[in-house]
Amino acid sequence: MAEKLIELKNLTKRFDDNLVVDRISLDIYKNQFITLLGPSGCGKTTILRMIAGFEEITDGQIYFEGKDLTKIPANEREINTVFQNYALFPHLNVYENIAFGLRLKKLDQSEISDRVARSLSMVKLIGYGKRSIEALSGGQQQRVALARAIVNRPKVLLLDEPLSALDLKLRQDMQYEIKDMQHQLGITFIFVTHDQEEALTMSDRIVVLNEGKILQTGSPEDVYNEPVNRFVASFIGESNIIPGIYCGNRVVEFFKARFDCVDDHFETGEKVDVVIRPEDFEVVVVQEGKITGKVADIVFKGVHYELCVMANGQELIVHTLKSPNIGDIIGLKVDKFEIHLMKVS
Amino acid sequence: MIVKILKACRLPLLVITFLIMYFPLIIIGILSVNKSSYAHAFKGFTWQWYTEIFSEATLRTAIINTLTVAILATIISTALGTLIAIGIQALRPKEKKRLLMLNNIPLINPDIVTGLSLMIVFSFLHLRFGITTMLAAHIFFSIPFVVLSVLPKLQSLDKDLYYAALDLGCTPMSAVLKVIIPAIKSGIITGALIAFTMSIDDFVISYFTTGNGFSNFSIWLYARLGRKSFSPAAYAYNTCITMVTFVILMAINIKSIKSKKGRILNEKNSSCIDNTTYSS
Ligand SMILES: Nc1ncnc2c1ncn2[C@@H]1O[C@H](COP(=O)(O)OP(=O)(O)OP(=O)(O)O)[C@@H](O)[C@H]1O
Ligand SMILES: [Mg+2]
Repeated sequence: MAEKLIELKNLTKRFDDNLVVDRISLDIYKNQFITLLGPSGCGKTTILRMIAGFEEITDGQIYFEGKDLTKIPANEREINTVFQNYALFPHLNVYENIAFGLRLKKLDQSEISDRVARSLSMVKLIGYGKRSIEALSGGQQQRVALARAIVNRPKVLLLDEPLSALDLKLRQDMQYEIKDMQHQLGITFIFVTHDQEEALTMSDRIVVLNEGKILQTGSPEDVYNEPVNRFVASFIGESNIIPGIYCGNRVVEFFKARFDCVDDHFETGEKVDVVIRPEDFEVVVVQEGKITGKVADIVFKGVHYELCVMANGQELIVHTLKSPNIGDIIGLKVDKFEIHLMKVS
Repeated sequence: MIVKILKACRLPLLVITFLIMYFPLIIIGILSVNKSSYAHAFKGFTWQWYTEIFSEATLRTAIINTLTVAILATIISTALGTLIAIGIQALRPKEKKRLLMLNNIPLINPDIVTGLSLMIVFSFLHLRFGITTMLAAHIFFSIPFVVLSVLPKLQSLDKDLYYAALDLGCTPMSAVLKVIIPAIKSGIITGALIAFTMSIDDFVISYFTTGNGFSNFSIWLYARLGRKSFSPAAYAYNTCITMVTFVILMAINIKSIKSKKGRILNEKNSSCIDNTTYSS
């Protein structure tokens, strides 16, 4: 793996008696796109603010290139932030907003205008320098906020839900642009979102948080295919979670049937949660499937149909390309590689 | 029925109200251009009193004193009030509420109570009554107005603005000077204008907190009323002050209308820009 850039060690934050960040340890590498993903209020912004230096840490350490970051004031850290509501300076025009950091560094005029022009072109806002901030749309303001941060050539860019105020189409465009920008700049992006799809699309690595704790860290594929617990499984993508019992020898029992699986780090007889993604079921005739169910509902979703199937008293979500009829009894088949077991939490 | 009667009365009522409110001002305006120096007879039109405002020594001193105190009080109370507002804004909601209440008490206190209590405080401190005490008093009663006009501006700012300045390399001090203060400029100007008008037309508090012969215009006027040496130049000055106050109030109002309009215009503009950029 690449070089370690930031290291969080047992990072903790309390507001009065409210424990908001709970002993988080995390290594962040150079040139990595890492996403903090979690529901509202789980402490994502607070973690970013501690890395940026806007919030005192209650306990733990933050190291930046091996040095204790907490001893360096916010204005001297080689880190820049794109704020959730952009926090652009309303009294300055687009050019001056972007040049703000460079002026503070006392660079000469020609270098400033050079770098501002380059970052304006990077965010596709050439010719917008003289505009006032208030005369920009949300998407344009978002680009100015990005430009204002990257123009300083930080080693780390912190982005706090930068796309949450944009409409769907624009948001998807910006996801690719931001990802692209990270490749071009070759710097570390720490991206915060509560949108799992955004996290899966953009990240090299995802950190799933809940109630101030890290639940899982891993590549988008890992987190999607092998969620560690019920919370992660249901937060990331749609999934069916079925209670089962591990029978040893890579066999699991659920719905009164035995299935082969590939996970084996469980005790024989241990209760487990079985995760099966809706797209991993195969709809077959009753005789061929180990699971039998009755189709309770069908919704057309464009590419596929989403079935709601009642099996053994549990609702299963199933995605399929060919649609049965409501009320049909169907069989369901699952490949052993698609059966994922989790510890019961 | 009643509603109808009330509706019919609207215009006459409005006219009467305005007449009652502005009648004294109009009378003073008329007296300020009256050739006779007695108030009971109008003997023709003249600008004479306006030119004489500065020719009577005691009146001239009083006016200069008024303006000196007003300008100094405005500058100092605007600076302090702005800093206080920034401080209050940074507090937690509960503490903020309490401090705001403290800020508002001097606003609703009767002038005579404020004046008297300041006089007692100053004499406890063995201060020499005169320009310093009057200036201190004016600063004291102007600050709450500045705070009240700056705070809403601060509240409307993105709370991350300060952090954005730090993020880009400002020290905490330069973040306030370079970002926060420019962003709340219009609130500060409004506060300063209010402080200035409050100061030039104050009588009661000034009367209690001055001494050793230092008088501003209102005190001078009070001392002269009904005496033979009373000069109609006072009416002229009064009319000027009314006009100045009027202009300042207009300025504040026009400013607030403009900024509202600006926002609406901008919104329109930006939606146009949107269409062009994303369709092209
Ligand atoms: N300054 C503060 N004082 C007290 N409590 C705070 C403060 N800032 C945040 N909190 C609390 O800390 C918790 C986590 O807040 P944080 O803003 O980090 O959440 P988040 O994960 O960013 O949520 P969101 O997705 O809604 O932005 C919340 O319960 C919030 O109420
Ligand atoms: Mg947040």
